[in-house]
Amino acid sequence: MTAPADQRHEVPAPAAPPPDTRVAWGERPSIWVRIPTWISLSGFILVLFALWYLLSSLELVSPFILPDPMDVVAELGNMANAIGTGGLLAEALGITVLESILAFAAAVVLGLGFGFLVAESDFGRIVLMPLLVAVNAAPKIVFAPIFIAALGFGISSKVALGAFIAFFPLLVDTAAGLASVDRDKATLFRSLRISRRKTFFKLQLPSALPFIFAGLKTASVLAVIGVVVGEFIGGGGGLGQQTKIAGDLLATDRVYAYGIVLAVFGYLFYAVVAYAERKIVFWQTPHGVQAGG
Amino acid sequence: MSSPSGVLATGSAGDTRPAPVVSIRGVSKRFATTGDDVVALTDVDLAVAPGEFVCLIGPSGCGKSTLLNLVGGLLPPTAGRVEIGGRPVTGPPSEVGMMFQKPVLLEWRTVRENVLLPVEARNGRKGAKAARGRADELLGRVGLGEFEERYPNELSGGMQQRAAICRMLIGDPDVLLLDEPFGALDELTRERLNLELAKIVSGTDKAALLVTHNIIEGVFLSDRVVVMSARPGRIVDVVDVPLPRPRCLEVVTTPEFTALVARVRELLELGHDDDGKDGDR
Repeated sequence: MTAPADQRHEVPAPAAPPPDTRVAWGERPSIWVRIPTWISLSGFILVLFALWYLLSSLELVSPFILPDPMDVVAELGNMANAIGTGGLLAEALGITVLESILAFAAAVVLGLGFGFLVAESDFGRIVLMPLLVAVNAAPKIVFAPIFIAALGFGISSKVALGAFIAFFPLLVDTAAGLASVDRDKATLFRSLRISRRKTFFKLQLPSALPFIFAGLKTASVLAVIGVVVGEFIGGGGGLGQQTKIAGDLLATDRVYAYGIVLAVFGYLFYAVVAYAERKIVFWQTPHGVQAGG
Repeated sequence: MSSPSGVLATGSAGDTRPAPVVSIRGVSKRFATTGDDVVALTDVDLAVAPGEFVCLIGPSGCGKSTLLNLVGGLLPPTAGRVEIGGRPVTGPPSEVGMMFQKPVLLEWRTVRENVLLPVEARNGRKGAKAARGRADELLGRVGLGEFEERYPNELSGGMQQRAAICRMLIGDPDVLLLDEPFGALDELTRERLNLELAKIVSGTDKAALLVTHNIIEGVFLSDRVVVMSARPGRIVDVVDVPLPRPRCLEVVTTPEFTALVARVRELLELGHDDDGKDGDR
């Protein structure tokens, strides 16, 4: 147990690829682990598509419910064309995208602002929070006619509805995050006599970021939902309204096509936020390989 | 700034030490709860001289962590007086560096940025930048020379505590408050870090107060071992450890060491009539 004079322990050994013990123990990883995700995913989508094709070509389901997938593909092609040439659909998609981004931005302002108030002030915590919980518990779509009456059939009523639906989870996550500061870290900051304002920016806010990003991801999805619901009810020329019109005309293939486009947009929106999360909250995921023992 | 020496009851008789840097006189601490108040500490007297390493040992609930927090200015005493450098403690004093059971590193800062946090708190970002060389020098001394730019998640528990040692030392504190700093680590890492800590502290005039559950660790590191008991938290006795320094791990097997350990154990048993039911405060 003699300690060497030159103490340089725990320096990690040069990285050597570890032997695949799973194979040695006879537990081969499943096929889904071994093949690349993009292959398995697109393969699975193709299978679903084939199933769909089978169902509709055998006329097992009414085409008003499940249209011919080729019609949907054709409709998607039309859309791509229209978007390329800047037609009505391009405008519709542009409106919905713009509304969604604005609704998300407004939800961020509201969610972070009220979340801060609720976490940091007694008024917010005691008076504001129960009220906000009650409002949140209501099916918020009932407020849609009010937003339309107040803000008209244009973009702003959809932005308001989208923000209204999206901000609450962000508020809750922000408040929870700001209150989640590790006790030991708070003690450390106190022992270093770090001011309240500096503690907020150097400790509380970074501690809250993982929570805030969870809220931002939820909000990015809800903002699109809120905007499209607003368009269903209040028109305005967006893709939601186009979908509603197509549905009223029983043009199910177009409903599917628009739905797919909206899904892709919603996914991209979410992916952007998730990407920002990975970049900003880098310490949440294991950063590189664990060194030392 | 007056230092009324002579009234200092340090537990050990015949005081020839220099003026204490930490002085605790008649300190009691009660925590108000919904039921009866919890008496965490009652009538504690203790003085620690510069360069002295003192360990607080006792069962859970004996108030040793509370005592450390009182010295660190994180809690006000209910009665009595705590002084550091002759000045009464009314908040976290700048002369104090603390270490906790966990490393308590900020995951979003590099190791170097973590070490520089106390400097940044006192002198701002510019001051922290100016102290980078000192941070790197400290990190080199604990074997983290190549890890300044890494993030805490990339380090093992032992390495994280080494970084925490550097953060404690960066402000060159006169008093080190160590609350079971290596308690969460495995035995071997803990032994190694204890040795390093002893090496870093010895030969300086830094005073250290260490809270521990481990008798051997306490005797090995200390000049004096303060044995405490619970309910209410109080000092049972103080054991002087006259073993020469620097100590290497072999000292653990000497009869002198064994006798001291036995003595501490005996005192712990003495104050152990009421077992601690809840954790430390």
